[in-house]
Amino acid sequence: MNKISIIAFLLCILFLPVSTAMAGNPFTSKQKQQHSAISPQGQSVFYVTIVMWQQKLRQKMADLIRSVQTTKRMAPVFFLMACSFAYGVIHSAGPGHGKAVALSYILSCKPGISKGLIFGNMVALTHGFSGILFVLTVKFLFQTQISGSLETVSHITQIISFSLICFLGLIIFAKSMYKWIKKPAPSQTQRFANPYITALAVGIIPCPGVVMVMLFAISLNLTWLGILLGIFISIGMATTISSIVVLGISGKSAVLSVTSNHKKRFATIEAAIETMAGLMITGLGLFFLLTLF
Amino acid sequence: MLKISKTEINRGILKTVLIIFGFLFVMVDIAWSHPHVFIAQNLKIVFDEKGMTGFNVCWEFDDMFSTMICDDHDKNKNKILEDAEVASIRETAFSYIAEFNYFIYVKIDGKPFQVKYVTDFSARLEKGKLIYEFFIPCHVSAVKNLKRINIASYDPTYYSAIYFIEQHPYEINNNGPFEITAQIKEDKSTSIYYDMVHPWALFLEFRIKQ
Repeated sequence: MNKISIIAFLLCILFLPVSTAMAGNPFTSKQKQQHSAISPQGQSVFYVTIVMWQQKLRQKMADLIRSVQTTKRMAPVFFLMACSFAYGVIHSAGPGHGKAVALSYILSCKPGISKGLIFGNMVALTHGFSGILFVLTVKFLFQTQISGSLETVSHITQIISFSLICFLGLIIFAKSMYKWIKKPAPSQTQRFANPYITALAVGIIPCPGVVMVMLFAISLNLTWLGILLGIFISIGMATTISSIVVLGISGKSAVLSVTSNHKKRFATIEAAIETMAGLMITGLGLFFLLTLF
Repeated sequence: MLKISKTEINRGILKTVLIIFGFLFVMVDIAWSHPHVFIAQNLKIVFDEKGMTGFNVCWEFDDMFSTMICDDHDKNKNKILEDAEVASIRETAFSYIAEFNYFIYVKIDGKPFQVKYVTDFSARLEKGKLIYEFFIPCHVSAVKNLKRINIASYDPTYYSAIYFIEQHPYEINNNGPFEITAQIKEDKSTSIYYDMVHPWALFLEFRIKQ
């Protein structure tokens, strides 16, 4: 059982799914042709359900925002906050939001649950808040086209983000190689890279979901409501990503606890996970970066 | 009374955590491109005396994407898209998807048909929602044997989710002597969105009346 657990865990890391779809809005930006239809390999009702719920929630939110504008009542605002939170939770449950990078990072170091929670929240909040900041800046400061600007800003932030991710992966990989070669005392191996910079690197790209909700509210002269909903969507996304990060930490701890009675094996497995996580982060960063050019 | 040892409990917990963890890894992906745009679609298949000439695509976008596009292109803010504004939309909020077959994937008797251009593009606003209409020329002559056409619509980048409207998802404009059957169902021969979903497609069959 123990061996099977470890092998399954390592295989999970190795076969972390990687997609080519790092797309911006295909309607408003020229992109590389990336598609060829392939034979089915599986099917997920989960994905279909997520898409359907998102569509229904977006429609409900649009109706409620209109209702706030026409009735001037505050009652729909509370329901809107709940809808926005739910939208954030579901929106980030599907593919995206840098969860793979976040999980790889968590595997590479030893954060406790509290630091993991801070990390997960920061990834999502940065992603959401950069969307809010983007809309406010472009709409009120520069007063220019949103869709074109979103593509430009997304492109620039993606270059920055993926370069940072790549660099971070290299540092983690280099540190793990140092451990393999020098075998430092355990106290020296407890430190890990600054989670705040990593969270910023992963989440800096503005969330188009937040951008669209905000723009809709602003079009009805409800800028304050747009900001409020953007915040609640971000909190919803933070809830999902933090849950995944915490489960990631629990999974890693569970695997390591299997070998906790064998110090040497424990250290080897831990170092192997860190090395693979470093390689994975570097690979993901590099891969994302290449798709932009 | 059944006794369970501590080791067995630990193994049980470990198994559960591993299953959850494994599931999360399978579900996790790195793309930032999950659906941000929702499109309700209907198709109008057009026939002449020889067979199918093509089909008209009508897309109704969700309120929020509609607002974003109109905010940029409805320059005079009159909620009506004039010719210059439609041209601007076509250039900067439609023509790029030519790279992706205009999100329309056609198979004629199982063989892919590349959508290289569209005609009669128009954009308008209805109750705050942006609507695109365009025609895809696709000539298929009717013969005595059944011709099988499969039309699926999806955005391979996963930025948009396209679905058929519930009522009247398609119309058939049949002016010829043809037997035509059509239905909308999942296209099990194609997988999209990280191989997780089969797209819904219009399956059309037609031949000269026997």
